[in-house]
Amino acid sequence: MSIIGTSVQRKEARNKVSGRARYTNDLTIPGTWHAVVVPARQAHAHILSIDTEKAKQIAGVKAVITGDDVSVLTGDVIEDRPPLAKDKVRYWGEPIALIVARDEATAQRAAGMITVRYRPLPVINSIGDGIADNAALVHEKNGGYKVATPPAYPKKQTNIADEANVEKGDVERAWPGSDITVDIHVSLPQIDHAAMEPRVAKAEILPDGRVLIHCSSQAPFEVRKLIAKYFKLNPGQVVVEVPLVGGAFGGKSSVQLEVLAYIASKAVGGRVVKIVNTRETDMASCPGGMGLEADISLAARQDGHLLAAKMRFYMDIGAYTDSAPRVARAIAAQCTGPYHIANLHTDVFCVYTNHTYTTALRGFGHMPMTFAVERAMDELAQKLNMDPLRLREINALKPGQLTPTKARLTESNLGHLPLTIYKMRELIGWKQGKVERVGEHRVRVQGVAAFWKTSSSPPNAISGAIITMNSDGSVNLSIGAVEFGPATKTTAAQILAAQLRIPLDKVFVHEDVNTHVDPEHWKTVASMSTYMVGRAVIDAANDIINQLKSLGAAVLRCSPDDLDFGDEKVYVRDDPSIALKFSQLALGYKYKEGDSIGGQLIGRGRFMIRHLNLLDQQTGKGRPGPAWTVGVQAVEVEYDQNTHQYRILKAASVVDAGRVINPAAARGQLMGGMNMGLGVASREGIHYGHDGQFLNNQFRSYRVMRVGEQADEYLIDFVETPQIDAPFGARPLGEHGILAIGAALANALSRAAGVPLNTLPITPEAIWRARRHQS
Amino acid sequence: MIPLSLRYYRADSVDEALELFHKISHEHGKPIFYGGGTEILTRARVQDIDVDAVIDLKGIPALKIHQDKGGRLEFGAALHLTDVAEKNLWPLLTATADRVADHTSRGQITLGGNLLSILPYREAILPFLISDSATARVAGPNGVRTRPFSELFDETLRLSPGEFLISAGVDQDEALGPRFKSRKMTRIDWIDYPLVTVVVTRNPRGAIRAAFSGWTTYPFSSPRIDRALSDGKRSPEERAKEALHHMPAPAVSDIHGSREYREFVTEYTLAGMLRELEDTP
Repeated sequence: MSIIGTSVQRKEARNKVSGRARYTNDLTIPGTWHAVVVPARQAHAHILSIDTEKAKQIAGVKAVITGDDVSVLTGDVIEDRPPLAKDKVRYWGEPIALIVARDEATAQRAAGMITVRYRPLPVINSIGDGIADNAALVHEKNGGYKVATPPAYPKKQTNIADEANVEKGDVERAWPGSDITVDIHVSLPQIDHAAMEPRVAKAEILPDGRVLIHCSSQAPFEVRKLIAKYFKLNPGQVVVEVPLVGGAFGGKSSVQLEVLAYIASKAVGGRVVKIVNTRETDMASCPGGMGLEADISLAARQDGHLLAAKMRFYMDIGAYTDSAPRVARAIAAQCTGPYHIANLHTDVFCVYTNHTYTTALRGFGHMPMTFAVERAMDELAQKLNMDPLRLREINALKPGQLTPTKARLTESNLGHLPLTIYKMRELIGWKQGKVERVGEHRVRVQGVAAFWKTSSSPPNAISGAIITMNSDGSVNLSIGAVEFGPATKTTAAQILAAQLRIPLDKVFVHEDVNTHVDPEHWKTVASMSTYMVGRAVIDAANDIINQLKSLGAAVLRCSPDDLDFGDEKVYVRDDPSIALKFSQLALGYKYKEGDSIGGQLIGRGRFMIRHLNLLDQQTGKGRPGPAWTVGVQAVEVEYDQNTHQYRILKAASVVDAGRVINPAAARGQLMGGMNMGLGVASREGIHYGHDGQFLNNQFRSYRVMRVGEQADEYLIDFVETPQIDAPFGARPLGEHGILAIGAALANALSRAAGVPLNTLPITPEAIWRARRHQS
Repeated sequence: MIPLSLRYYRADSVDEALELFHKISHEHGKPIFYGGGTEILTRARVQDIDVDAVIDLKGIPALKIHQDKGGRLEFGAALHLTDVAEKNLWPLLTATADRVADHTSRGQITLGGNLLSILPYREAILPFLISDSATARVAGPNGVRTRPFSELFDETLRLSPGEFLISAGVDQDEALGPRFKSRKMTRIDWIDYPLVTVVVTRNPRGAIRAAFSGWTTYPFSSPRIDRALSDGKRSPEERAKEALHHMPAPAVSDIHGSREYREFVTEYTLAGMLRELEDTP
């Protein structure tokens, strides 16, 4: 039986459950000093002075660094963020000083001694504040910063950091021809990634000039690139090591703490300095997930066919851009959801606010975007009195049609949404969205929503794999993708085992990533590791197979073409009894007489994304990713009409996975994604006070779903329409469980409560408020 | 990680604890009595507490008393909330104490710590607030005294600096006589701070008593509310609505819920509890 399609335990599972797995903060080099971030306690204010004297006098304090000591500006796309606030602070929690001390307690004590004098400025505390006429500017220099990674189109003298547009067909001409229209406004708060392991970074600068960084990151190669760039170092000088990561969800794709650790180390002569976030700092000072407001208008025929759509998305990106322009383009490119809409006009705006800045969060903007579109779709279904799954089915994109950015769709790059809908009917026991009475005040109802997503990766994203063979014919695999939970390394090992036709336990994967020895991988994001790493692994496996055959051919005195392989041997195709074990070739072949040929077998493989391009700024035309993953999700709730309390009975997903490589891992990813999405939709959200203070930067007040509060049942099924250019046809599915499940919950509860629920999170109070507002 | 320098003392007797407090204060230290430590820990790590010495009371036998003796139920201040729930001498106290925080935390939090918490909730106090026989044994510089709860309680248990709670007690008859209901209503989660926690008792003569936590910055009960709720001629819904007019303070608005929503939740919760208490024989 092939290892592909077989549930296997992840390679590091036993270490993790026994507490022996090692994370960044688990190893401390003796002599390590600690740095602590001093956070701003104003959301928008001029810094008049920072008094560091008292802190410096504390015994054990080695350095106190402020924005005046650092001249670089950082940012993935737009370089708008000083590592330490300079002249003004733009969010509550922004790092304004860094204390380096002999131990953490001393640094924390000293941090409490820093006094800052501020002159408060008007706080941009919402998207509405940000886009109001004559709004205070979060960045006076907006439009003047360097755009490090185009495209980005900041608007001078505004709080618009960037805008992306998509134009298709002719909306104005199509609109009057419709029978029915819906308009909705949705509003979603900023949220936190809530990874179990808070961010941590260590830096040291060696006398030979090398910079060693250890960090909990999804992007070790990005850390290397940016540290080298900001501090004018040779990239080879910077060595970044990332062990296992304790959850990431996009929050560790951004480079922040690593820069602070470098600055701290530099200030103390290059000694090892460690920064370990507290939960409070991790939430308020480091980037979270964006908030969103959107206006969606759909026009359709009486039979449910969509004719046109107008959409405006406003992202609450917080005080700095980070990856927001990329997210904006991802939203623009997929704004219709997996539906064919011939006439479309969409604008996406990145709005600066005095909130904590934001970065990628599981789904890269697709979760909030999908919420907006799928709420509109459900309102349309209700207006049409139509089965909501049927409405989605008849509008599903098909091969041959064009995406919003006019990328051409094929069966391979799109998959099969109607088939997932077909399977969902059975999986959840579909009742057409009808409200079913189960008690005096209690009803049960199902809600659905569909999604699609592609990678929105840069057109030059790369990956690599290196295989070395051991004396027994087993192999070591080195890749540049980090392991933060989804069994990335195990999947890569499965692909290699399948390709070399060897048992999985003969594949050893390098668990850590070290930029000095592992081949470069763009970033471990966008659910792209199976695709990109997998392709590189296949390439490397083929390389090693060629080497096995070519050395085998020399020994067996035949052509490499005469040889096939399997069962850890190369053998003559027409007479398998003439064979050599991999172990006889792994470190070179030794003849009876003792003389030898070959050497260690080392396979190398690489992969580069092809045929992608950046979106045209006027029309949005472009190809945002190699392929899409489509799927449909559903929720069944029981709702009390008197108290507005509800319980999630079932949460279900059917995803076109292309090919499921590790069923247990795939189900785990989807289940986790659904649970996270339901948590976001039902209870999560950052609260900012009237002055912009981050009010809930602890888990006692920032509520995530806890054990016992989850849905009663999680149901998962797959459709397998192969993506031809992907390893074994497998499509990405790491993020996807989160994408539409929140919309499905909102759709179910909107039906149950008889009122549109377009604001997250949907707490019983939110339902109560919406119903009161309606009556 | 606690960035403060702390000295740790463990007292073996009430007198030793009092002496330690006196001595440290006299030497210009800033001592605090220490039970479960959850609040000291969580506040210290964010530098929200100014202390330099903790006096651990958990080793004092009198604070571990947990008995049903001579018609009195006695609960030592150093009992963990899980101890109280497991022994279950007073089911109403169990009902409130066992809904504080989560099980792991309740294994750490002490009864005294909850009764004297700086947080507004202090749910374990609710049963005592509606028991006339409730008393508190308090140790202080002037010795050990037993005082009625009603005398000590004014929004919180009013202990002076240097005083600590030894135990709380209640008459068995009063504690176990009435039927009761206890409900903790939260924003959405099972484990969270309460929007409101409501405790209601009904004695065999039909008299209702109620106590509330989460509604405002302190837990409370009120004879006026009890009278409104005891008016058997009116429906539970009418009485619940009426009770809301007699609250001692307006409901708070915070990140857990707005004032109006707290009113809504309290009203339907109270009505439902009255109905349940009165419907079943």
